Amino acid sequence: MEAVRVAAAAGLRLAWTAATSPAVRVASAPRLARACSTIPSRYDERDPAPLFFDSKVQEILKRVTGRNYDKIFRRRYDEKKLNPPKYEFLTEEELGELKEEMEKKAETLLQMPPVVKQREPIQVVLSRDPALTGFDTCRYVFTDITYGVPDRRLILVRDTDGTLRQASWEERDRMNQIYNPQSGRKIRPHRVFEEENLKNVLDREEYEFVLDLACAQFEPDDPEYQQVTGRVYETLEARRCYQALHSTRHYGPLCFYLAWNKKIDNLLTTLIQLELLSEGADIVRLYYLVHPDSKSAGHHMDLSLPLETIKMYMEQDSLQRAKLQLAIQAYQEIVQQRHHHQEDVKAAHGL
Amino acid sequence: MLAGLLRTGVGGRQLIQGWRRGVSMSGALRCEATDGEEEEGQARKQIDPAKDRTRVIPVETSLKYMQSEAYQTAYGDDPVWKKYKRNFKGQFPPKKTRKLCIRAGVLSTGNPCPVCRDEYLVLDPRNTALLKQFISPHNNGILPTSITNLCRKRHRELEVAVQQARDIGLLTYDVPFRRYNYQDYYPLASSSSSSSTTASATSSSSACLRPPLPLLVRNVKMARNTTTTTTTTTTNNNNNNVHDQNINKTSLRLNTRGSH
Repeated sequence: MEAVRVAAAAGLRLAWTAATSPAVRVASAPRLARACSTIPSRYDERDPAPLFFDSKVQEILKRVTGRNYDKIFRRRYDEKKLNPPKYEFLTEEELGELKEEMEKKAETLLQMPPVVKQREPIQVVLSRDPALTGFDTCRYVFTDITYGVPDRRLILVRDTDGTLRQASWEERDRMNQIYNPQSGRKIRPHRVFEEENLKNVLDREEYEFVLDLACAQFEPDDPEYQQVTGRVYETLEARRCYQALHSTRHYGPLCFYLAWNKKIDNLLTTLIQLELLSEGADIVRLYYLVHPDSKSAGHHMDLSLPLETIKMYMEQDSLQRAKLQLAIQAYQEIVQQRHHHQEDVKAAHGL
Repeated sequence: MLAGLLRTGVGGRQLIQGWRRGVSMSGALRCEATDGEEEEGQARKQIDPAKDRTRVIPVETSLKYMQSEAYQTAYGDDPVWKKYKRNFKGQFPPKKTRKLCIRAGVLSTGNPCPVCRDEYLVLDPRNTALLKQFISPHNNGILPTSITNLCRKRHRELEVAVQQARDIGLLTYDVPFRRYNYQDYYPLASSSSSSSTTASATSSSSACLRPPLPLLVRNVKMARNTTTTTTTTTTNNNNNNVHDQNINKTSLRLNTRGSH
């Protein structure tokens, strides 16, 4: 067979598998626009990667993700053998060293999944051989399983009509998982990603589970991954429970998604209500970095007055001005009341 | 049965003669008439209703049962295996539990396992209330039969149901941590933001982000910060070049053949 000779000449060790027609990807249910949630958007027009990997943006996203070590180092329910706890006597210095180690470990656990543009379908045909039509009832997939070759390996498909083409992304993912399995990933994706099951899981508020599963199963440029993550972010946006992802690796991409799609108003409101003003200011700064052409982007931002930054955003670019204004007013009133209360207490103590 | 056959007469004689000849008389083996009246009684014998397990209970009934008063009085708040005691000789139970409790739709043991004894306990992915009772609260693993005392068939059913439930998302678990190498997704990413995986291009966990050869984008400048990253990228490039050249050669050859 020509393909085999070609392969031999190329000096590659190929394994060819008679593959049946590709696994029927479960047709995703039509994405209907429901009253409570919007259709998630994918990164398919502008490339977000240069912005996401920019050091300023990374710094902001890392800062905004909290450092709740109880949540970061919580027990993992992953069927591993449990070890009894260790108790050690340490000096102050040793304790400091251990704390630094743990901070570094927390950084690695909070590594954000990359945000990149959706991949283009592969349509490279190497040769058309109509003479080979009907050589078999199934198509053959040739995969290069040489040791040491990463997942960007060569995968070719000989269709039943004789076309020799490069494998599509779905076929590539399947073959790579067969010959180079990764933990947490299945050959056929979990049925969680189907619309009905996804809705069920999101109703039970298991956001981190779905996002972790999506990270393990898909590549960041897979349209399916962007669809699933977009759906989760939209649900969080609709329910305003952003804090579910606080101190996890998904908070950064969530904030980036909201800034990209100009939906940071509800997030800002929530942060003001929780009195996390510096985080709110960081989100506004992120927004200006992602959309440098917005009205108030050029203005000088005073880093020590986060409330002013948020107000500036609110006056110029906000889409839900009323709610944000109300939240800011409420916060200012609370601060004033607290101040008065403290003054009264001081006066009562005669200070 | 042989005694019965011998007593009957004609059929029995034929059977014995068959044995002497070395041929089994299939008629004697399968014919109901020659088996005698006592077999007839056994064929039509009523199965004890308490041991009858021929009726298939749907999952919805089981789900309702888990919330019912009957369940509450039977088990209370304990898991269904808690108060079950396994019978065995000696101090230590055998390592394996019995193979199955139900044979041909009838309970065939005196002390069936916790799930077989209650017909309304159906092991199904949708019945998460029941499945969770067999999952360890400490590390989310399925409890071994040394604790639950399920028969081996039911334990396999449980494992299948739990796997299906986890696939659908009805039972959640902690997914293994996925570490990314930012260089694979954006070559200009600074080395401080990339994860410090020491593996080189041979790392099997590196991503399939860049288009497959020979569509590799060549005009992207590789990061030149640390030595480790440069070596990985150069080995990558070397591999690419070799493959590219080979592919180019082969594609040329194919083209020339096709043109004939």
